[in-house]
Amino acid sequence: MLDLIPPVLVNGCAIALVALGFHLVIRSTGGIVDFAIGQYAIIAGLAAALISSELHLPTIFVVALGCLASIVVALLDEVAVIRPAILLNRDPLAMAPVLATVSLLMVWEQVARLVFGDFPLRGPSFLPGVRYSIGEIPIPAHSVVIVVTTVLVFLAVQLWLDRTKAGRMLRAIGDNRLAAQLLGFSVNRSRALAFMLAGATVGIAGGLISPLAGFGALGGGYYTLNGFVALFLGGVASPAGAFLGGIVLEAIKIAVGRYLGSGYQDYLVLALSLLVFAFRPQGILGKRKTRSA
Amino acid sequence: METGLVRREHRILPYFTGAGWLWGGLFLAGAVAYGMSSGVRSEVVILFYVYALLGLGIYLPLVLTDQVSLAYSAYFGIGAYSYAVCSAAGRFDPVLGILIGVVLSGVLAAIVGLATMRLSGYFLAVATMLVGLIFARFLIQATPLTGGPTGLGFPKTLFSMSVSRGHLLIGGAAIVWLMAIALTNLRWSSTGKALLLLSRSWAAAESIGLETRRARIVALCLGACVASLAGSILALSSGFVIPESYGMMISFLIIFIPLIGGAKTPWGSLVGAAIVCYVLQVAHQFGPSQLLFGLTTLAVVLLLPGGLLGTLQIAMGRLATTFGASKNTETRDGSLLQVPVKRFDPGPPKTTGPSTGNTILRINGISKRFGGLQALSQVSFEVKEGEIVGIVGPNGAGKSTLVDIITGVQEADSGQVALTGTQLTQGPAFRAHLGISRTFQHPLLAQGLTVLDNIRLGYLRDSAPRSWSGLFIWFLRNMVFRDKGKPGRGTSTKGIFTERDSPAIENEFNLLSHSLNLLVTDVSYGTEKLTESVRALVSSPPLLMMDEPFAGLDSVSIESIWRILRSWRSRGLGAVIVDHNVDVLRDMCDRMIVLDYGQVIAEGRPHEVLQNPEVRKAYFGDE
Repeated sequence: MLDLIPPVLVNGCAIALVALGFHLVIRSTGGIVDFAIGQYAIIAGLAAALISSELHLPTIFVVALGCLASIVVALLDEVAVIRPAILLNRDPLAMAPVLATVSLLMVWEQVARLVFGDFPLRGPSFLPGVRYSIGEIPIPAHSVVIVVTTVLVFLAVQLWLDRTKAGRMLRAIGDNRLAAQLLGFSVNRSRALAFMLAGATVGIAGGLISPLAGFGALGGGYYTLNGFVALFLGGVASPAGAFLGGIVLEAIKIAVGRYLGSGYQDYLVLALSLLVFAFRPQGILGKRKTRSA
Repeated sequence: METGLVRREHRILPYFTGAGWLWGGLFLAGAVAYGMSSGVRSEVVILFYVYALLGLGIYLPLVLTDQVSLAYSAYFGIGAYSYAVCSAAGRFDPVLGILIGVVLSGVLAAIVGLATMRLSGYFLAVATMLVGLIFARFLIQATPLTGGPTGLGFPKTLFSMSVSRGHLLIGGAAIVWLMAIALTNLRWSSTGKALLLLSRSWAAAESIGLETRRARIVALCLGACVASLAGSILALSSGFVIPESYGMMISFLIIFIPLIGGAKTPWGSLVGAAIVCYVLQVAHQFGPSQLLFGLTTLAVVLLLPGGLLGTLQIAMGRLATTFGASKNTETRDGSLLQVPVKRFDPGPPKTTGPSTGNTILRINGISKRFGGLQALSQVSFEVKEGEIVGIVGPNGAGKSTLVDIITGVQEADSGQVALTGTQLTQGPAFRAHLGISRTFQHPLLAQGLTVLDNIRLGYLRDSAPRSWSGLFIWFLRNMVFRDKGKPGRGTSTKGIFTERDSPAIENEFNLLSHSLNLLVTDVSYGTEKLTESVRALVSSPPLLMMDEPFAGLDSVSIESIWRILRSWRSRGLGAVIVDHNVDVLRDMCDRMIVLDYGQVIAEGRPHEVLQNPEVRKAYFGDE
């Protein structure tokens, strides 16, 4: 039972970071779901794996470079696709931005396949071979790095959102783009910043988890879905919801995998998300909102 | 009234775009001929049919109700595998498999729709994507049933008859053709027009009596059924099913079929399907087809929002204008100008003093809180038959919240709303049906429709079906008959006048008569407001709620709305008008209620209320 805690924390942190990226994108766009977001993790992880096999750099640089790749991809998405799609946003394509992200997921999956090949790759891990243990349970140093990094990223993002002008602006823009524009905020720059941050947090998740999971080029949809479900399980309104949702989702999945068999995990995620959407759409931490015209 | 703006319409275009059944039929006939020429070609043509049907299937939720569903791979696969399993088992006729597939995918679509129906379309997109992924895994895991990753072979029979290539080519073309005609019917029927209003605003669609959540789910269900049929056809043509064909990728592909071709008409799906077939065929030679496809879809979303047909239509329009082939709508529709313009009859003179009719609306102790703000506290009042009640108050006094609570758009924390003695607990569409009609602060009209079409939507208030079965039948009937025998079919105004036999409406139609056949996007703000008011009144509701009807209007438009109200009041209409324009309300209302900080601070005859010192302090800032 206790030996489940390390995998729950490690996988939960990765999903939580993806959910955090989702949160930033949703906040800055007033509710657009970026289906390509899971692919940022894949690209960062694959880039890290490729770089570490070509160059002998310290792991931290490799992860940072992988992260840089996903930041560039996210920024490209925003500038070249999301921004024009939001501006176009006209009949009969009211959903143009979301559909565009679906296209982006397809495009980036195929680009990743061309660049990194068809075979799964593993990135380098931190302090390979170093293990700690608590009681009977062995804990690789890499897992500790994952959890600590995740906590630091969440604290940094929360501080940025609360304390800096740019962070607070994000909220205003998400609530009402037009009003924010009229007040003289640079909506586009702010949205680009949010996408870069999302690329960074999701990229960190990808870089950190790829030595454990091993990424194929076509895995983006998995992280998109789990990140989204985690965010709405925890509560969409705050980074804390993303963190809680990631941990809770992975805890449930891993417990089900252990006691019922791994074949049931996916069915459970579906059932759980349908139940959350139907009965508690505001998530564990959220407050109830009324529907507007 | 509106006379200056006349929509320029092109003479050639209606023949080109209005005869989709002819063009589509010719296109399909060409496809059949092409497919007959060789075995390889027939496979391509059948694949085209399958994509076209999938595109038509997703047209229902995606274009008509703005819902992104990514579970079409599952519905498609259910259709294919139910036929396959039934045919392989050989115990029943495989036709049963096709039916089972249609029912199963409809039920699955309804379950996902029900779970996400309180949320925005994005939740549906994610939930359906999960369904698609899990279905793909199920196909691999459930080996005893589906044959697992290696697939399943079976005899290609139907009604104990072996199905040949020719059967499929001709039968498939017929199914695609009929389905596209059915969807075109639906799109331009009252159902499709009501759904157009829904894509503009949820609350507006409810106000004309459409049960929006149910209608959305019915669209999801019917779309899934069509996709399942497409799956059965694919299985029938190949005699083999394999999980790979029903992965996530196909869902992404299906979403874009109607958009690539042009979403404005269902025929666009045929064009889209042909392009998708071509892109996938070509790409196999040059590199990864999915990358090419992804880039194509991005280009369509960003550069050709109207799809290929939409772009073609714009280009043809330009050509037509260049060659001077355009003319005015008004001169073409001569009948419109021949409607005799009657002199306006203001109805019986205004009754003095409060009305003595029966109570229509009774509000009792309504309270509503938003976080720390008490928007309404213990608001109570009554509205009688033939009485117009004005509600005034400063910004933030809770006026609009009150309208939303009475119409059911928002729920009150406590208190009751009763209409002619019946407690109301239902949603806005049901309340509209019971007799509460409404207008909005900013007029919410269905874009892309004419003023007349928008007014006709008002008749749905008490005639639109609300039950699940009723909605299903409404959708299906309009696919086949398109509002046969319903008022207001076609472009003449006749149906509307005869059906309800209310000559008084004619006056209002005369007011609007110059604009009736203009698109609502081409008329002035005043005409939009007038249109919305008439839409709310055509079905003669007992109660009308108006949220700031006079805001932003000039005195002429204010007067025309006011005259309409008076003519209906003389027939017993009770109305609640929320507005800032105290001067107008003072002259028009039988009774006035003043709200401040969510509380009723004064109530009575307008002139007396406005003399009340507390009102003067709250509203005019007098000390």
